[in-house]
Amino acid sequence: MLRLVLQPVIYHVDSAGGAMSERFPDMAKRAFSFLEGAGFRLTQIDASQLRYESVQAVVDIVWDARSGELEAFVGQPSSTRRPQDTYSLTDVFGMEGVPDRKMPPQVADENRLQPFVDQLAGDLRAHAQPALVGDRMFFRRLETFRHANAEAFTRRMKLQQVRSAVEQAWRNREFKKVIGLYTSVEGDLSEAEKGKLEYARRHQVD
Amino acid sequence: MIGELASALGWPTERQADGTLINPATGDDMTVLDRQRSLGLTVLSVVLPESRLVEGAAARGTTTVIGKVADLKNLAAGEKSLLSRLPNLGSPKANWAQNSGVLRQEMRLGQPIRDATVDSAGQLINNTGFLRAERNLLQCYGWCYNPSSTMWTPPVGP
Repeated sequence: MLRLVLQPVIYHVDSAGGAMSERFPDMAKRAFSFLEGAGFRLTQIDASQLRYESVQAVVDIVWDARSGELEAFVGQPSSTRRPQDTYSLTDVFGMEGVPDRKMPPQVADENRLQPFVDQLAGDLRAHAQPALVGDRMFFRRLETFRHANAEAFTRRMKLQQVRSAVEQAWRNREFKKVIGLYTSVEGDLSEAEKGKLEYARRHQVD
Repeated sequence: MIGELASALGWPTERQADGTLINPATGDDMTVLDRQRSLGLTVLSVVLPESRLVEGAAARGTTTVIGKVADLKNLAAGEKSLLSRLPNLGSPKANWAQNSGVLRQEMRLGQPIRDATVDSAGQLINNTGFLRAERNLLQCYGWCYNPSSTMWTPPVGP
């Protein structure tokens, strides 16, 4: 008589590179280990952030699990250590004109994070060398670039708000209001808007 | 009784014709009237979700601060971020739905909101991810940013 015996079988499943169960801090520590050979030491490590420091520079590697945003920041050592004293790799890419790198990657699934962490480490190595050796001129250029970008963003925001307020005022033929609004952003007006401002000036009633 | 409690917590309330109390800013019902007819008792219970308690604190002078997580670690006394009300729900879509909802609650209070992710001149930096979306939301609702104060202020009425 044939008896079929079923034995429990334990399968050991390994993902490629064993990365499936690895957490962000471990992945980042491994990918950025080149920093330790370049005079940096790991001074902070938690579930979402690693900080490396050397005499010349600091590097933060940050992963926001809620949005999935992954970014590296570089800065000069400072006693105040305000986060805004560091510059994102996205800013470095912008300044250096690296194409297709306008936004940091967003990877919410920690299991899929590994290649992006590796890419980030490679990018830092390739594009931020001057920052890693504390090149002051590089940081000054970064500050100027970031400030100009931020100013342009604030101007665009204001222009958008003015445009939407003017739309309403124009419909109501409130030319005094149109003049006030447009004058506050006169340098950023399009040709058509300059024409509208001129028209409002000619037709305003006190 | 509910009106006094709401007032103590700093909630604006308005009594409706049917006797219920609502928050005029949000339209939310402030009371749950549970008539225990079988016992001949009338029990009035107040819904006190955590968010409302935080709203109450905000109305009493706490400044809400938005920014990148690293910039929200060292807030001044009297300031609070939204982070404690934003547990990770597991997907960016669900997290953003939650985040935008909490930010809208704060916006409804009509108090200025500080932006902590700014450069030394107060200009907005690191405009990526959820922070970018939060700034867009504020802007869409007519809020204005002032680099001098680093505050977002609500639109003024007509």
